[in-house]
Amino acid sequence: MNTSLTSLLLGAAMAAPAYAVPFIGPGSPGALATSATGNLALNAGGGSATASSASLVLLGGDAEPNGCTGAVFSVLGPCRIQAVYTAPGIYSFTWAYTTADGAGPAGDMFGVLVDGVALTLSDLGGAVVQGANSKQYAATTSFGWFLNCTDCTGGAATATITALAVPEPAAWALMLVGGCAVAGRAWRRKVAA
Amino acid sequence: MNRRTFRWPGTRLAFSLIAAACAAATVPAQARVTKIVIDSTTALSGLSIPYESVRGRAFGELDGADAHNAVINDLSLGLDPDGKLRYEAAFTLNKPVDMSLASGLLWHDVPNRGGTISPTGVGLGNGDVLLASAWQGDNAGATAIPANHATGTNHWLVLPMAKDATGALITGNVLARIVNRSGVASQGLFVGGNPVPYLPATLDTTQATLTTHSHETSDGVVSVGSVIPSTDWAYATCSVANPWPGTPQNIAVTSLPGSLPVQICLKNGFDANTLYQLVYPAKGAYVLGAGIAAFRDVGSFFKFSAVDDFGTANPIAGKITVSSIRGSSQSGNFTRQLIYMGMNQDEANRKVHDGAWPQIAGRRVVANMRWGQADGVLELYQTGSEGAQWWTDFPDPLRGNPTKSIFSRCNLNGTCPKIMEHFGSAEVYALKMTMEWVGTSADTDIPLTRNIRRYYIPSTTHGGNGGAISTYFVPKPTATANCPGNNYNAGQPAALLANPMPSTQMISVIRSAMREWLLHGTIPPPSRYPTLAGGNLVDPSFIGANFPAGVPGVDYNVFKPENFIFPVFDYDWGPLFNKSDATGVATNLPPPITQVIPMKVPRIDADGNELGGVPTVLNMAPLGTYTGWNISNTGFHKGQVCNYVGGFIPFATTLAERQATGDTRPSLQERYVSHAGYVTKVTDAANSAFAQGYLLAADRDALIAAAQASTVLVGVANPTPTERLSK
Repeated sequence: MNTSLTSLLLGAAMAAPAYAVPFIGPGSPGALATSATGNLALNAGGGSATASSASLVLLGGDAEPNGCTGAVFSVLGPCRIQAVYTAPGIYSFTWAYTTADGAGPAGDMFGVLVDGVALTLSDLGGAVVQGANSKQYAATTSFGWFLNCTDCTGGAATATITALAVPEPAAWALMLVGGCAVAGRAWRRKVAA
Repeated sequence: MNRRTFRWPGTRLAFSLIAAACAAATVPAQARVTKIVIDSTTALSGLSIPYESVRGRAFGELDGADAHNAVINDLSLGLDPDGKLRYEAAFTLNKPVDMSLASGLLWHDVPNRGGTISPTGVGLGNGDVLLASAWQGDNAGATAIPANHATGTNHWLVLPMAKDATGALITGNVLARIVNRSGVASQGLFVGGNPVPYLPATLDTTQATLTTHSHETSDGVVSVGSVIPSTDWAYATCSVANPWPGTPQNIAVTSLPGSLPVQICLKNGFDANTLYQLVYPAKGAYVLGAGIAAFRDVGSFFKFSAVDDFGTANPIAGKITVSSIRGSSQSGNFTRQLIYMGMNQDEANRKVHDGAWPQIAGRRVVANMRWGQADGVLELYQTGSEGAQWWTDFPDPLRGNPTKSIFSRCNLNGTCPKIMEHFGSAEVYALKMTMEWVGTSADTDIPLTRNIRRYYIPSTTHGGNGGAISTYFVPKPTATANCPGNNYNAGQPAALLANPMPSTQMISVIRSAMREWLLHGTIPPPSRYPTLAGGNLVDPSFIGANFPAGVPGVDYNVFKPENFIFPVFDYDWGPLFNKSDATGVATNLPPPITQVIPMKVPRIDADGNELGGVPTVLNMAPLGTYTGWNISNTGFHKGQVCNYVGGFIPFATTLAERQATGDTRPSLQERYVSHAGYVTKVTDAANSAFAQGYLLAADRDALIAAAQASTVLVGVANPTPTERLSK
């Protein structure tokens, strides 16, 4: 299945009913790879990513010996704690964010990684406690979450992701039928040509 | 590879020279405040400790050869033969009588258009020292220099006028406008309520152009009428009793400021439906930028110096450890301009102020160009939005400006102050403020730094409601609003009531936070403002599309682009104007508008109240729709946004009342059920704002008490089940 067709099907499934899946273990979207970028050291004072079946908790880096090399306050930069599934799909979830950074949310930005592209969800001009219900994204190759300490000083932020869900099986079956129809029509066109 | 140390024979000499140069650079230069004169000392009452107000004058010199002053426009044209520019600045120093009780904090307040600053109005107390000193040296209106310099309370500044090599006064063209005037009497040239400070160079009207406009839109489309023949108008005072051609204008500079405003007499009188735009040759261009240096040096003197050159003691010498500039509106824009010019560094290379608090100010004041009109408020053909208006270096390719910021100069030498700034909605709609947040391309949240705090107080008018706390909680207020600004002519009524949303409580939070930040290093509350990333900063069209339907008193035509928000215009001021620094001289008058810069506005909720920004009680427990805009009810700009004044549309009390008018907003009764329900909502809102750090405890309690004492839903019968369900 080519990428555009995948996108089409994923897009069609966006409106489909979803059912909950665990973050890790059987039934999860796949292996959840956690990592730190920049000069952050995962689980060694540079933040952490902790997953259970019900939630994923990202703790941002803070007070690294050198802050974050190459970072600029309030700008997405190199120092992230992230957790990523290498699997296409429709991902819906809820999130809650809180920061202890005295300069507010601009010091620590939370967002999603859709096919490797970072999209910020937290509001850098908003409250120190934020959150949203039922965000949904379609990914063709990978999907994850990140917590980017923009200069990694002033206090850490925490993002808690819950209620991970994917479209119901019936929706996937419907998509499969639709996909076959699209493929079949394309095949007939090719034969006719 | 072997390394070999090369020793240049002149190394020691070179190091010696460099060291000597560095040492010289740290020695205070000769140009500075050289003398202070104390004219009066009076006791202040009503403060927690005994205070006194010291009124005086500072005499200073600017060295024309000092690199710190090179940024001053026309400096070379205002020098005395010895290479110094000299000034005299009025100041007011409010200080504890016993300076051992001083906190160590100096507030250097920026007078607004030369006016005075109420010590109690800015929360003086706690041992803080308040210094106000002059910066606007245009000798007109409230900056007029009194005949006896030792008298008066305003803050005026004596500055030289620019002269050419022969010693003659520089001349050049100035633009001024008259609007909303009628009748045969002559009319004065005003800008922002004060006289345009420049006299005609000649009474010969053939050298000037007086043009009429029949219409102007908010987004810059001008319908030009005709040029009034030079034989049909005069620089003259006329009236019914003294008809055309009247008494000629006195154009001797020696008669200033008494000869202002410049009077224009029309042979056929003025028409209220016509705007008159005059471009005239003027004389007497003050070296305005020197006023910014004067403010810098007066602040530096009182913070750092023990005595002046004549042995007069600085009354607060040795008692100031930290200081902050503070200015509101025009004065806030001055604060930004001072920092932009790198003038938070004095001639001795010291950082003058540790903090700066520009309030309700999103531009830079016009005080460093020839013929600058510092009283302007960004009306059509007024400067002020040129160049970088943001705090971190950011590109401006749309206007062809280099990547710069207000901090560009002070970043080079570590003299940038800590910044706290706050805004309200009126600055968004009329004072072109969001360019500071998102740049000229309006597609990116421009980053702040850790030393900057930005607080947006949603749904407020310019400066907020300054009235008593009881005025916040009036369910059916009657206070009306007038459209401010010279173009709009204060006194023109607005369609909507005055906006009662205050900013007083947040200002108290900021004042307290700035004190603690500077004195003790306590981190202030985080910034709170609408952002693109957060989804609370949107296109102005969103407002028209989402404003609740049927709101009484609102002409929905106001949401059309030609009537609504005032955008930034990119003007072509001519080849002698530096559009990045806003220096030089504008020679294209009126300037062509080369492009219109897109603006953004805060998102609104279903009631039309703004989202994003600091939590406020009235926004969380509203009594109506609080807007940062109003509508001109009469005059040349009828139907358009009423300059920088907000409005208010109260909610209906009951379902029946709102249904009678077609108002789609739930009534007070539907929202709160009863007075007790309303008070509960206010209490929850106040507690929330307090818990988040955006309301002081005393103000929280006072707001709750005021809501309890209000008449909101008092005497209104409990709603029926239908009325409850209708929400």
